[in-house]
Amino acid sequence: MKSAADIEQTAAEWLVRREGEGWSDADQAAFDQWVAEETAHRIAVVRLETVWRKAGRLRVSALRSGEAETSNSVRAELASPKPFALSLSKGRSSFSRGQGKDGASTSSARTEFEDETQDAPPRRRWLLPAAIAASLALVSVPIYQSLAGAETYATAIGGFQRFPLADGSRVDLNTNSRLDVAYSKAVRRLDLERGEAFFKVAKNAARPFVVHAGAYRVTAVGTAFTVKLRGGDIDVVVTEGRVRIDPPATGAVPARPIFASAGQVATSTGASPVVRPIDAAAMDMALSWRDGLLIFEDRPLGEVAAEFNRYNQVQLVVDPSATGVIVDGSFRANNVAGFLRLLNQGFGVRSVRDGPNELILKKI
Amino acid sequence: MDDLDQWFAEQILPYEGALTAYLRRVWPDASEVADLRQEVYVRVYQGAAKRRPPVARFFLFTVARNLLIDRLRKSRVVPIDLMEDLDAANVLSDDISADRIISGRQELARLEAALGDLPVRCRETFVLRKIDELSQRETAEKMGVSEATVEKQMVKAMRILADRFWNAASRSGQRAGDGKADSDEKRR
Repeated sequence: MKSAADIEQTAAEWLVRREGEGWSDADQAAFDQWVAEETAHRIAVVRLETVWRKAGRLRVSALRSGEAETSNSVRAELASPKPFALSLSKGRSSFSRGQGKDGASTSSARTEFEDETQDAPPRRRWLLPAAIAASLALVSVPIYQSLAGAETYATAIGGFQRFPLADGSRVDLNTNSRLDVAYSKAVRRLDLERGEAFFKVAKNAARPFVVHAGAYRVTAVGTAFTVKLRGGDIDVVVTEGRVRIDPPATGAVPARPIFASAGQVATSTGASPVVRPIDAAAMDMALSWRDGLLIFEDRPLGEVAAEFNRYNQVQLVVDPSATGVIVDGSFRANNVAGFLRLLNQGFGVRSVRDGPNELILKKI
Repeated sequence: MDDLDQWFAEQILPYEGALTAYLRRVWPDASEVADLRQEVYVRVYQGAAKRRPPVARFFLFTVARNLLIDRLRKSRVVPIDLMEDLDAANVLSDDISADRIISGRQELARLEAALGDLPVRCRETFVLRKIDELSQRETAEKMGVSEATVEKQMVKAMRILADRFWNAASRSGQRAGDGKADSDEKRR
């Protein structure tokens, strides 16, 4: 057996290269082969990869530690006589990279920065919350901040993030999703660029909470709801309170708003959303992703496979022979292997590899 | 990762700190500890592939102990006290508590601490590439280095983070060279 250090080095090199741009199918095949060669190789990969994946989540934690600092910055801005800075930094403090290494000097850093923003056009900036700098003691974790001060939260396929927002609202972000948060004094604006999110909204009638999803706007005041973006369409499930949905205008005519209350779901399919009640079981199903679970009650295999595909790199394709299979049960969203075993044992459905990331489900 | 990999990551790896400490304590040659640990892992993994043990940590330490005994039989000179020390039962009762199961928040705290242990250039590279999600080329440009260097720094970051993360899993698992953790230990 080769030395543990050598194997670990090789495994790390593979894993880093796999994240690079030039990774080909041939590379993947060579990597798979290397992993299969020795148990020690496989273990080294599992050991490194588990931590590496977790390390990708550091962003959330950094933002979370930044909350205390954010409220300070809002206060500072309210006291500031400069309206320009407000519109550009949107309730978030921003520092150029390298500033504010020590948390104590942040207020002067902020003033400097705001002065700068009045002349300079907004551009990509680094956000360095003082609280993190302090908590990490000299470690600076810059957070990507997009144009105009919006913050971006994103999850990879299979990912999940739960985080608080500056106003005390909470967000759960589902797999393969992206949410931009841009709070101003007048409005709490969020843009769901991709995927699905659950919002538990802190009440504040004076400052509406508006989620933009595709061409739709979903507005809440003291409400809990999810928004799921499917192509240009949306599903909105309301668990508490009431939301207002503004469909896109048709020509010059603004569309009539639609209201949905707790226990209702609004679904758009190219046209104005339709609101209908859903029962408790369906509600549980619609929200089960927040616990990392997928729950199905007598659903066709095609639909179930599509749901798994949202969470996993491995994509399941249902062969016509298996479309009649009806699935009932709950699964961990990332446990494709367990799901396949159940299909095999319970339904006589076999999976056949078809390309590096594709499995075909066939009924024998 | 399949089921077995996941089991290994959830049930075995969190004991790495305790296992490493055990090996260091009983094995005379510290330079062999990493390789011993690897061999323990391989045996555990292969054993679990046949039948998943009901209590992972007992299995892990039993495997470790048996491996050391095998090794001692092969080497002819055996220090007497070593055989006594090998009794892994001590380790099981003393050093390992329920801290195996850690919350997401603890995990993040541990990762942040691990991030702080990275050398400066290495950490900067990691942040640009992994957290800001810049491409390898963009990262290289920003850092003023070659892409190969970025790759090297990422490999280094991955190895150090994994080492710190798993070895923090149990306090007894802190490495001897880890000065800060040692002084924490003394204060307690």
